Amino acid sequence: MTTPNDLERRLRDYAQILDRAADAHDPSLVTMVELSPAAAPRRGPRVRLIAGLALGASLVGMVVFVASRSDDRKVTLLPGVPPSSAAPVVSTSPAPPASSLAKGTWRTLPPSPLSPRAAAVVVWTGQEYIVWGGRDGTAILQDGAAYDPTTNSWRSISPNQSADQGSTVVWTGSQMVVLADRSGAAYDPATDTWAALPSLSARWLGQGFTSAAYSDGVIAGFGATLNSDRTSTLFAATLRIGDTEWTEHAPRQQAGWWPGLQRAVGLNDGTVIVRLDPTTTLRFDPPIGAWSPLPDVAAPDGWEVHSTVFTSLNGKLAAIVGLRRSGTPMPTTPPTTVAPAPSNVVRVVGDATLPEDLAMSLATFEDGTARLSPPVIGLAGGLFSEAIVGGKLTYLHARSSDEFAVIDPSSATISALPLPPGRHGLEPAATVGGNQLFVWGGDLGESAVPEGDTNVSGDGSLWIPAGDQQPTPAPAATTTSSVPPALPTTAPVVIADESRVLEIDIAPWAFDLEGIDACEPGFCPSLATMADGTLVVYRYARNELTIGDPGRVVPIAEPLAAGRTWLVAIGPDDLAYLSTQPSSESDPVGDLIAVSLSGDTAGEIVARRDGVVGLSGDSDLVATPGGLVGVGCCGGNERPSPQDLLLMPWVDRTGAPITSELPWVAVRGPSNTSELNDEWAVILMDGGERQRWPIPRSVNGFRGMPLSAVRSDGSVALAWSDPIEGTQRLSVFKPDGTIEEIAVGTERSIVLLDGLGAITFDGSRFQRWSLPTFSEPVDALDTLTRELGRPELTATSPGALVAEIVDALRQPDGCELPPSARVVDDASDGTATIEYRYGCDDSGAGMNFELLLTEQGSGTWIIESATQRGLCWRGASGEFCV
Amino acid sequence: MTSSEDALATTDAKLRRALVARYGPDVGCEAHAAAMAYAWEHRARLAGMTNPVGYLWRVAQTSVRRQRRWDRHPVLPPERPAAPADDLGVPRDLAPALARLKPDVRVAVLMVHGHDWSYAEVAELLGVPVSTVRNHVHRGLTRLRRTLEVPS
Repeated sequence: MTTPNDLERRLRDYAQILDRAADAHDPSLVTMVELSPAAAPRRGPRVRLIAGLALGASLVGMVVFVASRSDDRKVTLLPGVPPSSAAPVVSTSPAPPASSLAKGTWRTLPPSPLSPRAAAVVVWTGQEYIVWGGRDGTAILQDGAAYDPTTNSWRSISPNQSADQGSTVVWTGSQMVVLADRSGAAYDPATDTWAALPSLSARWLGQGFTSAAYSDGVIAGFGATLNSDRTSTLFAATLRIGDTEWTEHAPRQQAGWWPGLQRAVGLNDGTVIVRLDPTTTLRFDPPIGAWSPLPDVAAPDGWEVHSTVFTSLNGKLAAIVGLRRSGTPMPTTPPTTVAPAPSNVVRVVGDATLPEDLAMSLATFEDGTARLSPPVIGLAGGLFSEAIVGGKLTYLHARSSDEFAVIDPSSATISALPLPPGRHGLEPAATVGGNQLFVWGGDLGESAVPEGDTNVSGDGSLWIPAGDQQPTPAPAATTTSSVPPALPTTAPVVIADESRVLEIDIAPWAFDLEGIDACEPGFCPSLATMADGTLVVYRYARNELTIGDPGRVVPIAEPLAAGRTWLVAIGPDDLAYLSTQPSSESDPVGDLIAVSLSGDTAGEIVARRDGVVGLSGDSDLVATPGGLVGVGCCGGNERPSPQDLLLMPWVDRTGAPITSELPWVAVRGPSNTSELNDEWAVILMDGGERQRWPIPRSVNGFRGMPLSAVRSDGSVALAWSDPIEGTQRLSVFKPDGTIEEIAVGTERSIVLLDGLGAITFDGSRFQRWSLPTFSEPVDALDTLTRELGRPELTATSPGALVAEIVDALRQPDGCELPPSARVVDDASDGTATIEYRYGCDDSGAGMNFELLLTEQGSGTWIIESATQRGLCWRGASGEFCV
Repeated sequence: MTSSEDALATTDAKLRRALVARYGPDVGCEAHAAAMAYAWEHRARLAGMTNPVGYLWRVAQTSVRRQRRWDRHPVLPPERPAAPADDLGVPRDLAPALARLKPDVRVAVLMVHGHDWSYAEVAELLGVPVSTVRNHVHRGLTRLRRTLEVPS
C-alpha cells in the first residue's frame, strides 16, 4: 500500500522522469552559439541551449609569429571597396524582406560559356556572379564566366593558368581572390584582368589553402597538416590589401586530425571563425594571429551533433547545429521535401556581425577530407549539405537532391523553396547576391553515366524572392510556382465601419457534435464542409469519411496512418483532400491525397502529391481556384500570393486537374510592412475582387492565413488567432460593409467555419457554435407557422401577436430541454425578435426569429415575414428542426 | 549576462517544466521551444513585464493550438516500464492518473510537489489566484490518492 508520503515522493521522482523525457524529447534542431565580439569567449551560454554547450572553453594565448620574408613581385591587389549598390535586380536593402524569402520564382539561366562542372567557386560582385574553376570528372578547369542578372546574360572572363581549381575564393569588394595550393590570383572584373598573389613561404607546412575568409581589408587563408600523434597543426596566413607578402602566423596544435580547416568566415570585427568539425570551432584574430576556441557544441543526452555551420541571422553570428538521435544511422537518402522541424528554434545571441554579401566556401566533414564536399546539416531528420550564406541570408541545400530552404531571419523559420529548374546535385557553385540565390553546375553522381565518368551539370538557376521580382529579360524565366491569380492592384472603395465586439454568452448556441470519434492522445478527428455546408468528418479509427448527418459513409480504399491523416478540404467534383503522413516518415512532412466521395470511384484515391505538406503546424493550406496553396507561417503582404506554392491542384474524379469557381478569401496588406495597419484588408475574390473590408483594429495580429469561409449571403467569416495574447476572434464581414466580431475564449479552438457558424473544440468536445447574428438569415415564415401549428395566427396588436407566438413556441414537446422563448425587443414598431431554444438528446435548436408584423386591417395583426437566424442541429434522436 | 537575460534564463527552465507537465514531453517541448523563440525575439519587451512566465505560458498555448494538438490528455512517460496492475501488490502507475487530471490541476500538483514551486509561482504561471492553486493541488492530490488507492 502506498502511503501519503510515498505519493509525494513519487511525484518528486516522476518530475525527474519528466525532466529526463523532456531532455530526450527536445525537438530543437537549430541552436545559436553565443559569441562575444571579444576574442575571448565568455563562459557559457546566456540561456539554456537546447543543444547544450560545453562551457569550459578558455582563451589560449598564442605567440605571434610573423615571417620576415620579402617578395619582389608587385601585387596589384586593389583596395577593397564596398559592393556595388547598382545591382538593379537585387534588393539592396540591408535586411531581407520580412516574410517573402521563400516566396518567389526560379529563373532558368541561359546556357553559360562554361562546360558543365562541379566544385566551381562563385562570388557575387554586386553586379555579376563570377564562376571560376571546378572539375568535370577528368580535369581541373581553369576558366570562368560571369552572369549578369540584369541582362540575363553571360560573358567569358580571362583565363588564368595560375589560378588553379580554386579551393576557396573570397570577394574583397573589388576583386575575386582565388586561393589554390600555396598561392592564388586576384581577378578584377572592371578590367577583366588577373594578378598573381605572392606565394607562401617555406615555413608554411600546410597542404595549401583549404579555406579562406575576407574581413576588414585582410584575406585570411587556412590550411593544416596531420601529425602521427593524432593531432593536427593548423596554419593561418593573412594578406592585407595593398601588401605584397603574406603574414604567416604561428601554427596551432589541435587535438584530432583535421586534414584541412573546414570552413572559415570573416566577421565585421575583423576576426575569422573557423569550423573544424561539428563540435569544434575556433576564432582567429588576424591582427595578433591568435587562435581561441569557441565553446564546444555538445548534444544533450540522447542526441549527437553531426554538423555545425556558422551563418548570420538577424545580422548576428549564429551556429546552425544539426542533431540526430544517438545510435541512429545517418540517413542515406535525401529527404523528399525540405520542411521545417516542429520547432526550428533560432536563438540569436552575441553581437558579432557578418559582412554583407559574404560568400562562404563550403567544406565537408563527412569523409574526413578537406575537399569541397559540404557539411551535413540535419533538419527535421533530413539532410542539408550546404549552407549558402550571403549578407544576412542563409540558404540551405539538401544533399544530392536539388532542394533548397531559406532561413528567414525575421521570423527565425526555415522554409522550403520549390525545386529549381536546373539539376545541381552535389557541390554546385552557389552563393547569395542580395536576397537572391545563385546556383550553377554541380555533381549529379555517377549512376547514370559510364563507369569512370562523372555526370556534371551545366544548369543554372537563380532564386528571386518575391520582393525582388522584376521582369526577366529574354530569354524568359521559368517559374515553378504560382497559383492564385494576382490580386488586382486597383483598390476598390473600402467600406469602412467601426467594428463592434459582441459579448455574448455562447452557451445557448453551442451544440455537441455527436457521433464523432473521441480524440486520442495526439490527434483528433478532422472536419470539413462541402460547398452546400454539409459536414464531412474523417474518422481516423475506421479510415472512412462520413458525409452529412445521418452520415453516408465512404470507406477509404487504402489504409492511411491513424493519427497522421487529416481531412483538409472538400474540393470540386465531390472530392475530399486529406494530408497523410506515411508511417515510415519521421519528418513532419506529409502527402496530399484526393479521395472520391461519390460515384463508382467513391473511396478511391484518385490523385496524390507526395511530400508536399509541412505538418509542423506552422503553415496553412488555403483553398484557391487552382487548388490547395501553402501559406507560410508568417505570410507576406498577400495571403495567398501568386508566389505561394500550389501544393495540389483540384482534380476531378479521373484525377485530371480542374479549377474551382467558388469564391475565396485573401488577405492583403501594404507591400512595405508586415505590421498590421489600416491598409490591411480582407478581400472576397470571385473571379476578380468582389469586395474588401479593412481588418478591424481589434485584431492584434495573425500569422499565416486565418481560417475563413465564404457564406452564401456574400459575407466572409474569419477566425483570428492572436499570436501574442493567445486569444481568438471571430469576425464576419458583411456585404453592407459592416463587420461583426466576437471574442472567443482561449479554452476553445475554432476548427472550422461555414455558413452556419463555427465548429469549435474545447479539448474534449466538438461543438457546432452558431450565434444568431453570425448566421445566415433564412426565410422562416413557413417553418414558423408550421411549428406553431396555427397558419393564420392573428392578434389585435403587435405586442399581443408576439406574445401569442412566444406562448406557442413554449409549448412542451417532451424533451428534457423544454422549449424556451423570449422577446428580445419591443414589438411596438411592427418588428420583433424572438430568441428560441429547445433540445432533445443530441438534437436541438437555438435561433432568433426576426419578425415583420403588419396590420391587415380592422385592427388585425399578422406575420408579414419571418427570418430565422441561428442553428438547428438534428441529431440521431429525431426530427426537431423547424 | 544582463539581468534581463538572467531572468529569461530562469523563465526558460521554469516554463519547460510547466509545459511538459501540461502537455507531456512531446508537445510540451515543442511549445516551450516556440515560446522561447518568441521570448528571444521580444526579450526587451519581456524584460518590462512583471509576469513573463505567465505571458510565455500563453504564447506556448497558442503554439500548441496552432499545431492542432487538441488532445486534452497528455502523453506522459510511464513511471515505471510496463507498470503492472496493483492486484499483484505493486502500486498503480502514476502517469495515467496524472494524465486524467484536469490540465491546470496536473500542472499545479506537479509543479508544487514535483518541482517544489510555491503556490504563488504556480498562480503567476496560470494567471489565477493563489487560493485557486491551493484548491487545484488539494483536489489533484485527493484524486490521485483515490485513483492510486493511497490513504488520505
